[in-house]
Amino acid sequence: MKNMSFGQKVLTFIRDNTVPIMFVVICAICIPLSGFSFSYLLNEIITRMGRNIFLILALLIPIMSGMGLNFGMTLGAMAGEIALIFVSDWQIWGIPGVVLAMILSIPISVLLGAFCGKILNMAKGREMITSYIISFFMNGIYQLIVLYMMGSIIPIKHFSVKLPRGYGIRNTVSLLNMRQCLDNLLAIRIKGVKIPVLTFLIIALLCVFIIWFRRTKLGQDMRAVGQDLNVARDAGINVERTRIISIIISTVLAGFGMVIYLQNMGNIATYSSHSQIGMFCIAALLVGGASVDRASIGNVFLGVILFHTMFIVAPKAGAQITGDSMIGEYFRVFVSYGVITLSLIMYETKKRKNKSLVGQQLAMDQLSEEAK
Amino acid sequence: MSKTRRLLFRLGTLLVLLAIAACMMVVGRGHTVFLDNKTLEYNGQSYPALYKIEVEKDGETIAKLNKRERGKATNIGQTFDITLRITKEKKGAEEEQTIRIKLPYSMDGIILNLPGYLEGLPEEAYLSEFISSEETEPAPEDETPAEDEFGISSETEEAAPAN
Repeated sequence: MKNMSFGQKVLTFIRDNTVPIMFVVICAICIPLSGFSFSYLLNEIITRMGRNIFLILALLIPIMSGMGLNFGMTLGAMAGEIALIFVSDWQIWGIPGVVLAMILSIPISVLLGAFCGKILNMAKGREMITSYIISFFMNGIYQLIVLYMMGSIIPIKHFSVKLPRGYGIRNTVSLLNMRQCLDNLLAIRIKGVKIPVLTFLIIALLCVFIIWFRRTKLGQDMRAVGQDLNVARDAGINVERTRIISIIISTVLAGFGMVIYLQNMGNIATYSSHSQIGMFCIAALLVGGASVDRASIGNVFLGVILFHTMFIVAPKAGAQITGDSMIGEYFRVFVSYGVITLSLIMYETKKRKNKSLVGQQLAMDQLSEEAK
Repeated sequence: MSKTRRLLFRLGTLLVLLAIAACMMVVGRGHTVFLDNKTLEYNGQSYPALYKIEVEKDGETIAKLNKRERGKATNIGQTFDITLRITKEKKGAEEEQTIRIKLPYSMDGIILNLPGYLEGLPEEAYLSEFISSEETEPAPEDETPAEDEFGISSETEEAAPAN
């Protein structure tokens, strides 16, 4: 790197940060076209940061342990939703409701995380696609529980939660009595921009936890497992157990994140809130410059800002360019899937390139050995 | 860390979480309180509605009740603190009274008859459970299409591949 010319350095920087640069360009084009005022845009971005960052931070630990992007975080989101359904049924409101939902989500998340971790251990090297399919499978179980078991086997009493037929949960469960209770407590307003201080404090605590966790024995073990499974096993690390723990932690954090996300939204779309959450969180993380094997807290923040700026401005910009706001709607969904695909292709290309470089180096070393 | 110590640590954590959850269940129990300024009949005696009652909670006026009117307030926890500004008769003097009422944990909706309470009647006279008509009559299911913040409704998802 030191011997590189300035031009080469710039090229390397662009190559390493293609996705964030692409999004900066998209945002730079769309923001003026959308016509939104700066304060409106800032307000929206800050709200969405408070809503989404916790969920995205939940993805960091499995990446650290080499399990890639955890599409199974949807399982944690389901745990959070189930906990919130119970809390709504028991009519626990405000901050106590949020805290209780978080506590209730822990055992469900731990069970689901352990299940997911065990299966992922059986599918080493194919964790991402396996976790993606597990989330679809668990979605079926979730629908069965919420649609048929709640109210009939699992006691649900409140009429605002239960379907009029006597069992099953309504399409939408209102969280009006805990809506933005975390965001409004200690919130400050600067020139019309609301800053949810408590939510950001909770996010800061999680960031500190992640930084501390990386330095613990378990965190070091996870990094070792992430770098090379066999070397880690030879070093005496219980690889399978370490991987399961990393998925459990991620699922529990995703459960908490979903509670924070839904209290901000003010209602639960019972059968669909969780379905896209994994996809969008992963897309946001990748937009921030993370890859399948490397992600940092900085990537999370940058990703949320860029991805959600695009989400806010795209429909309006699309309407300005084409006269149809639906184009913008489709554009942002298309971009989400596109960015995941692009990142996966880039990761694979980079991996192969590095592998071939190592091969070439090895061949050259052998030739020089033979020449001696 | 020895096995016993680890077990104790885990049990301790579990107990702490259970204790916090129990506290939240009590502290966070929400109630909808309906405040009535209506004539109350109790034990063959009539307690007439007052001319005007202004209800204040946490420094905010939540209801201005004339005769035969009902106001609504929400409360988290089992203690309901309100300040009443009472005008008993037309052009009469206004008097202020701060009251604290214990709300039963089991009731979601509670009706408080203020004239009855102010007359010092027992709880069974001025406090009763509010049962919504939605609870007794089957309401039509809300068929609002579920939509997340990304604007992807089930309808959009179905429509997308066709386009």
